[in-house]
Amino acid sequence: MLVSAIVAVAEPSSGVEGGEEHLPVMGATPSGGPLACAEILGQPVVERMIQRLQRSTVVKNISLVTPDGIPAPAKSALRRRITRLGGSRLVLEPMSRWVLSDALKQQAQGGTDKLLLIRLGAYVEFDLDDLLQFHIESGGPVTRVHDHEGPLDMWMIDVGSACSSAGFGRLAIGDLGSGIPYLSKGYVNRLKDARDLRRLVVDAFLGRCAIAPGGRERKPGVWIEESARVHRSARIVAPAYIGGATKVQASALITRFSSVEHHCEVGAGTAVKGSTILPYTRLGKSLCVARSLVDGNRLTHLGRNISVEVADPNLLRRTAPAEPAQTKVPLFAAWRMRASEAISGSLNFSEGEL
Amino acid sequence: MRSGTSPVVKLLPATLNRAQAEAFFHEVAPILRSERAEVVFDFSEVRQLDGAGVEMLLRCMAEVMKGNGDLKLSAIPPVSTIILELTGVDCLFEIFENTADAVQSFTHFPAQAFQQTGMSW
Repeated sequence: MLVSAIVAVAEPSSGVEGGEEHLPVMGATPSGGPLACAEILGQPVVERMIQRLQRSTVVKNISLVTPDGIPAPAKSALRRRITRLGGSRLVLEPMSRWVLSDALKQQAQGGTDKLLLIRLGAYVEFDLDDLLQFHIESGGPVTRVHDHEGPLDMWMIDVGSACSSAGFGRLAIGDLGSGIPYLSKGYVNRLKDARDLRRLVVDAFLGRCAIAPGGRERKPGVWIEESARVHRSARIVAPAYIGGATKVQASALITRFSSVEHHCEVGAGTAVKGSTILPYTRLGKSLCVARSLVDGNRLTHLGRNISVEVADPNLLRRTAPAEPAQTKVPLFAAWRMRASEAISGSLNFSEGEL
Repeated sequence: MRSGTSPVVKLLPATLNRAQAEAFFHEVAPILRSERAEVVFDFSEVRQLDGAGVEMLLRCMAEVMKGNGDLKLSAIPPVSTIILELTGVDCLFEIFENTADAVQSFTHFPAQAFQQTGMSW
């Protein structure tokens, strides 16, 4: 039996939900790219999915359909990464030229019996062998993967049945409907918004999903890629991840559940707390970035449910090829200053007084 | 890369004002200055912490980092937690509910220690 897979990266939705009108469009990074293409602890979700399929012995051919609306730099970066995964089994197609009916016809002509269709979307950990077995035993033309919250955009399709069904010429992903529901018990994160992306990072750090941070675990809970440069006076508090070619300057602080992806710069004295900094982002000096997702000069603050574009390039900007010189700042100078500002000499609590 | 020695646990005094903090710093400085020192400050006895105490913690952290070591905090009472949060110093340190978790964290990241903290994103 020949099983193939098509992974289509969904365009971010233009709609907003849940009253979070200030947040960016659903499924998008602050700069508008699909969350499934955003680097998370060194690797985008789409790449993790492709690798998962490549590792399986069941799937013989994989097609990746890339969205058209993705920003150009993100698109070329994704293309480079996916191409590097290599393998004759992987084919890239642009969304603008992709039609499900045609794809099914091609699969049928290529001898595919079963097609796994995935619209990303969500980060889903599933048992492919179990799904295939369920699909075969159920005998239906389409099986749709569900989790305890409802249907997911993953279908196992019997190609022969689909091709012979009525109305095949107009078939789109939406027409597949629910099919026979298959309940997946694996980890699922729907990646609907920035909050979901942050939750995925936290869950990965806590081992709640199979995502392992990239790089080497330099000390327990601190993963740093080989090409990252961390000033010796900078402090990294576990769990945290520093991506490749990223520079963390003097007295900076990257703390608890933060990830700074590749080609970023964290300015001297800047603190990153419980935040994710997406690739090619430069944070200026002496900033405090907390509970946020930052992408270039766009920041989504999860505590305040707001997304802003920062015009001042001294604060936030997309990194340029030229590298600014490192500024020498005495060890913990910024923190000493804050501590002395916050605590006057007379402030003195004891449990008995409170 | 670990030093190969066991982490050193130091019990902090009940009062961490200027005089006590200074005395404590001189006591622990040789440990902090050793190469790749692994040190846990046990706060379980601390009842009083002021700015001088916070300053002392920063000095200890600076010393231990010079030798590529690490300093972690454990068993911090609520009042001291407030002081550390108020000064923004809390995020500089790995903080654990108990000393055993803090000691263990030098060998592997204790994810379970964070499971019940209600981490928000």
